[in-house]
Amino acid sequence: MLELLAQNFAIVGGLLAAIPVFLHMLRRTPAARMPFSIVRFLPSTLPVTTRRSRLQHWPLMLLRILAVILLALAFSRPFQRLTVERSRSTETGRRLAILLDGSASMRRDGLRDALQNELRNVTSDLSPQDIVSITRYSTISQPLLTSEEWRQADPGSRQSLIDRALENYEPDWRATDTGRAMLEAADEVSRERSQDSEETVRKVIVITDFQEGSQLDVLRSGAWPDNVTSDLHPVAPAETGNAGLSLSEDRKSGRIRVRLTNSGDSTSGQYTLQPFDKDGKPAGTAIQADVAPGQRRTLTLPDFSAGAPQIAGVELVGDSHPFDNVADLPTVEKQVHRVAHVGTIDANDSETMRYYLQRVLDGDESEPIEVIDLLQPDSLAVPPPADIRLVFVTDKVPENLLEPLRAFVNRGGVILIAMASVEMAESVKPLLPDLVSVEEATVADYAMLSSPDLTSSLLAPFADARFADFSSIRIWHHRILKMTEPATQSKVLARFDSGGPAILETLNASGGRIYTMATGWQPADSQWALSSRFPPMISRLLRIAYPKQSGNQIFEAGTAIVPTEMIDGSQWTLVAPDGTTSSSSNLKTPSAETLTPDGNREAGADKTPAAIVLDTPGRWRLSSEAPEGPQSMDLLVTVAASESRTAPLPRGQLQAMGLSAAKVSDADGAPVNPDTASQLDATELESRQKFWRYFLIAGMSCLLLESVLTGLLEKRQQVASVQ
Amino acid sequence: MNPSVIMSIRSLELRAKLVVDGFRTGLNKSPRHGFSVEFSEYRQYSQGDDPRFLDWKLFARTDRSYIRLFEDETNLRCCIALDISRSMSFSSLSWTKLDYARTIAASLAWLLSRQGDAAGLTLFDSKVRAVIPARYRPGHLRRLMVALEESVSGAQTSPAAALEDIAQRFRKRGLVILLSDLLTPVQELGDGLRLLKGCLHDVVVFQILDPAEKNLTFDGPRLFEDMESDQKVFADPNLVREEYRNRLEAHNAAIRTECEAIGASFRQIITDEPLELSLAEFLQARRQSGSMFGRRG
Repeated sequence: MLELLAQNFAIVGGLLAAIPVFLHMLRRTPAARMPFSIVRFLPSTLPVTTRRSRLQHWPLMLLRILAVILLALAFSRPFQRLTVERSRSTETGRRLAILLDGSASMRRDGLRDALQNELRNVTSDLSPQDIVSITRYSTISQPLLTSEEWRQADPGSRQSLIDRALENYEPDWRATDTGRAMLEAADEVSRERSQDSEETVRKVIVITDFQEGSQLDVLRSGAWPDNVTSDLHPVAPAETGNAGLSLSEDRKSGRIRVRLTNSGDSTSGQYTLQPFDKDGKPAGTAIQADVAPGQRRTLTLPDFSAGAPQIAGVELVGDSHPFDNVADLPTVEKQVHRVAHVGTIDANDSETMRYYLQRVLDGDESEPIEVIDLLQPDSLAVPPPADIRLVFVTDKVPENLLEPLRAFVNRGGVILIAMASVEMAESVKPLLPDLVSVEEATVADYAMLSSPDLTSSLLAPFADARFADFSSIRIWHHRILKMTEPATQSKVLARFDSGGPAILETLNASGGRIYTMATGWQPADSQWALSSRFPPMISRLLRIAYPKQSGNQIFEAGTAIVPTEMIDGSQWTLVAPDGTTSSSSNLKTPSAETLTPDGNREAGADKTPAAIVLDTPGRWRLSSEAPEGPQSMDLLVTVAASESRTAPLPRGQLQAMGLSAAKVSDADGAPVNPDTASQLDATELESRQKFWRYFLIAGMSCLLLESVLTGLLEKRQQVASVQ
Repeated sequence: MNPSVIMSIRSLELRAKLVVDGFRTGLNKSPRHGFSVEFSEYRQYSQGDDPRFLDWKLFARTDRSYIRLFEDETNLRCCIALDISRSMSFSSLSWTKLDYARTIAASLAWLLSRQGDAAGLTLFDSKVRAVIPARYRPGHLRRLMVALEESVSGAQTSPAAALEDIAQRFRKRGLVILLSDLLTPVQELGDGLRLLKGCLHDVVVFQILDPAEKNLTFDGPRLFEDMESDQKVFADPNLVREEYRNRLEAHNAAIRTECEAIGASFRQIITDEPLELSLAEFLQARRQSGSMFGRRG
């Protein structure tokens, strides 16, 4: 016996079926029509009409009634109840794929417990024939318990497998992609069909907070396999409402702005943005921000870079769920660099090295450089200020300055020493551990540089063959440096043609460098300052001391990056917010997962990773040793803005997405309304049987037949009227 | 000649030629005296006459002044008013009333052209649709034929407007030939004709009717739909034929009486009649009436 899902259509169809009867009774004898020119002289005669009780063309009328009824039945979605199917399916085991939401929004208080309770509820009535798999998902899926493990386990120990999966469950910081995870699980479940019986019930059970940011659109694609049902178990946090911060870039001005998202179920709309410094302490003035529930607001923060303490980020105060309340801001490096000089103060004496150094440093207007003299006119020596990272030494260093200079190198500073005399060289000897002694060289005519190490960072700009010729620099006087054999910390970057070291590089364990030239660059000693090689070398030194900052980039947590595509140089280092470091040489770290280019996780980490996943929100710093100098950039990682929209979606959302078979059970495990369940079963049956198609085809056939018959009748009438 | 033979000819010009050739026509002389080659008569000189036309030889012989009068070569100016209203497209034969009227108009134009008379054309339905002034010049006949061939049936009949328009445009005395089914109120038609007569025009009225219109030769009841209005009448022709005929005859008689009262010639033509016969009868009637059209035939 057929039942109807939409009975209203059947009722309307029944009423409409009376219309053809009425029309057939109403029709009068069709009169032949005749266009005529002199109608006004024609007296009218009464037409002879047929009696109203008599039906004309009753086969046509029956066809029309039948067509209306069949179409109405098709729209009423008929189905037939089959009880056999259900009873058989309970005897065989079920195949359950359980999906646990592990996105950032699941970090809210109370959700983890709710999820555990829900999972226990779902798995409480398992039979030994049932096969279960548990997967944690966010934008990626992570199996916590595979169906293979379940099959192999002893039925008695299966509960412990579920407990272990629950222990391993930990939400990450990524966004939610519920639709994709459900489709993947449904595909996996449906693929197992060939191994099991055809009658197995296959179900995808999703335990999630079902927040607005869940991406369900992919379910509209219609790729959901037949015979796989879905079961949604929403869980709710202890406290509703949430507001979160994320970053966005204003493309017009290039400034980074803060986007404040307030979820629809929030009760409050007033929040405070509190800036904090590098150590996480509150700094600067807090900003009041009003955002109505369900709304978003983008704020351009005041320019913190001008303030005395550097602002590292802002924190949202007033929200009960802290997982998305912190956003790191880009730190702006000071643009004016300062360098220090130890030597003559007079910058206008063309016989001194200072004169030429000043000319080179003044040359670049885009990066103004201020020179600070550490030797004051009253012979007092000033230690290098804290913000200085490069010191030029062109004259004798007083003893009381040696210790500050050593400390300067130890904190990563760069020193260039030009040995203008043996006396001066002796004064800096304590800074150079590998230097044994210094003598004045006897130069017959002139000396030249030879065998420059063009792979070194100082001379790398001259690596091109067009610039690698140093023979044009003639050296009238230089010093002979005697080194320990072998030199432990120093490296010869260039030699004189006599074989003695001309340029030395001494590396400190903490990253500090001392470059030593065995001659001065003033005209009395050499043609260095007058050659075209001098300005590139000085600017290279500046770049070594002040690495270029490549700017900031914003990412959502879970984004995979390829460091070599973002920064120059193959040698890179990535420092995570928690301080763990990953680099091109030291690959595997606890926080960085290595991925192959197609996004799949790679088992072995012994190969060079193509990508690194930024899985934790915060400030990541990527730096590299590029051929043109060290570079660094900040990667600002925030929780996806969609995660802050935590208002729960309506229960019927999955049905709206086209999953007619979706069942929704309450978070607290309350039984589903039996009427609703019955209705859902009927819907499921109807969608499987699809009887409406046959009714539609029959209705259309009736209409076609009716058109043919009408055409024939009209033709016959025309012939009759002509005759 | 059988009208079906003539109406089956596609070219209107050839149709007209055949019709005209079907009967012999006399040349009509000009009723007015002009100045051309052919001498007409003498008239005594009176003050104001052009002395160039004085007959000096006669003056020498008779000592009296006479003026030589000559015949005008282009003498008759004729305007054919053709009704192209929708009712003219009615037909129970294989040609419509409009086809038939068009052929008559073309024949008349051809005839006039051969006689050296100026012919013009006015097409009208509820208002004037096209006007070709009366001329006698090379190519004018062709122009008339093209206008006739291109004429299509329009809206309702209303000859009064057309006749008024003709009276305004056609100022020199001449002949106006009206070709219509005259399915219009008699009073309205009479006013128009009176206006033309007032302008001293000779007026000839042809009423073109289909045989089915005249005798209601339909069989079986049917719904008659008026071609020019929304009027619909359900009628059985067998029952109403007599009354219909009486009404139509009364209408036609009223028109005939009106025409006679005004001094216009009236002639009813049924579209199954031979075309040249209709023309010949008409010419005969014109001759008898002593009108200028064919006066010296």
